[in-house]
Amino acid sequence: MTKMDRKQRRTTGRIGWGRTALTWLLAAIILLPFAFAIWTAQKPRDRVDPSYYYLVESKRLPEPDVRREIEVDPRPLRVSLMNTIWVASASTVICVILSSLAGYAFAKKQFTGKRWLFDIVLASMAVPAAILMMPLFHLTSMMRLYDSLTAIILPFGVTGFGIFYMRYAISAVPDDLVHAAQIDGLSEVGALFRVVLPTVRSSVLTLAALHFITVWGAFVVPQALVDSPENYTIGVLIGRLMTDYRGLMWNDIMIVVLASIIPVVILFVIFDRWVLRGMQAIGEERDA
Amino acid sequence: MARQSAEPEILQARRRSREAYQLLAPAMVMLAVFFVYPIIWLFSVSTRVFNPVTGASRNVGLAHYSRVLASPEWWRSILNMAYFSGVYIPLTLAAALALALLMRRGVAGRPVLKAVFCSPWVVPVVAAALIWRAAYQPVQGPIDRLLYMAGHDRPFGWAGWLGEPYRAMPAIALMCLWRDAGLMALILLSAMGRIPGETYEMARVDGASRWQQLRSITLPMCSGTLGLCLILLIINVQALFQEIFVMTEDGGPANWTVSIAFLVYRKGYVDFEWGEAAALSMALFGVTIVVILIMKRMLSRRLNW
Repeated sequence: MTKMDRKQRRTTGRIGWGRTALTWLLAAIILLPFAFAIWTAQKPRDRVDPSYYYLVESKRLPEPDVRREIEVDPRPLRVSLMNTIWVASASTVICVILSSLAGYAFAKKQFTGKRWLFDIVLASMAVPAAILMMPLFHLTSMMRLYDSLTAIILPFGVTGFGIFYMRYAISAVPDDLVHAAQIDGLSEVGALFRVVLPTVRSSVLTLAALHFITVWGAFVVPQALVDSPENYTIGVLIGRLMTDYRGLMWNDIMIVVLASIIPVVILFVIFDRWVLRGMQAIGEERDA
Repeated sequence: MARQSAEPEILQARRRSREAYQLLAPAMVMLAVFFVYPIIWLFSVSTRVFNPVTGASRNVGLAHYSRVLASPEWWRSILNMAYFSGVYIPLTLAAALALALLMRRGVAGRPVLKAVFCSPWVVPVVAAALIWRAAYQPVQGPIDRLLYMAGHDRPFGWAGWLGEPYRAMPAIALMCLWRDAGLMALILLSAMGRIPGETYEMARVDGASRWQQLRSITLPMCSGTLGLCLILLIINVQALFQEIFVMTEDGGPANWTVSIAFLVYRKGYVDFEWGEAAALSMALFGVTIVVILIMKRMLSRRLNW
């Protein structure tokens, strides 16, 4: 239990058991789709889809062909999982560094064009990813990066939210601390990395976890930038599963779906305090 | 004379600006390349007939825009978005508010509950959409089976939840509600946590009922956060694309689940009309700008420069 929760407990009074039961019931309902996914994934094939029998028995397709078509090939899944781990980690490292630099400037520096630049940052938070598909395709083709993992990493190398969030986190650091670091002879970047970032360690972790989760599940931008299955990320694989592999059955599909869900859920359980804090950050901006 | 004394100050300001720009440069270059340039490029392509493969193009002025405005698909997608928002936004806000109010006072296991309520938001959107697509299957899907067991006369006659025009968009909206309500509830919960407990005590002393406390303390004091949740929901609405791509694939039945963002995709990648798709993108970007302006107004109260 976090400190915040303990504090809240004091102000929110004693536990209401009726309330608790109702909330837990709602939580169970929210988890139902996941339970359904697990339940479907473990079912044998012929129990999943009657059309399987239909295809076999009506001889519209001879049995071996049906088998070949629906046999799960584990390779695309393994490849796309490895790809996603690489893409998400690399872009997270880049995003955290760039966002810290920019967030530091927005939080602690006065410069001309500050508001105007921050408007661009805010704008990039609201723009639908779908309208970036064509331009990013065009850009990556020009850079000769189309259909490579680098093409996915670069656009995720910085996000409006990252800059926004680091600005919010760093503005809570006292100015005196920054000045003291500079008097001690540290450069701007040195002050940022040796003094400022260590004091907002948890925010850095928060941003890293949130960004990793975002990139992990991303579909719209990655699917516009890769074409061959060996460059699929897990999001692209899942999004294209129904169109790429027509014969797949729901239990096979759910195995892939669970493979994409389980790693982020593990990450979420480990980092849950930080992720939750990050998600509440926009709401808390009022107090900043 | 005044000018002479002002000059060092200007120089100092310039030096400070330069330092700031050095810190900003990497991030801003990335934003310029991957966000600003795409928008400019989209505008330029929207005025041309553009071949994405050869790069050949011919200027047609604003013809694509008038074509978009004249196309029934465009108006269909606007109606669909309105239908979607009409279901999604009020229900999600209401569910989030109810959850937050439920969790505001003492509940056992709050940290676990928080994690559970956020879990739908954490998993990949396409994965969640696929699970729901499976759940919405006609006849053999769990929802239809439950309905059958509950004695619903003929769930079997349906084209399924996603196959019937009136039912498809609300079905997708329900998935989005499941995904976002918990997150919104947590944002609201943290706003409610900042209302001092004495306020309620004073109200109770004055004999205010639960309902009066909600109406005149909780809601007004969370109004800023509620507005912010509304903005986040609107951002989700205008970005609505992958849910449709996964759940109905082609925006069917009869174009009843085509969103503007999906139309951009379909024009660009199914019809290969990049000029028209770019014009559509610019139209969607116009909507985005309105959202951004509202968002800025709401945030500027919070941003202390």
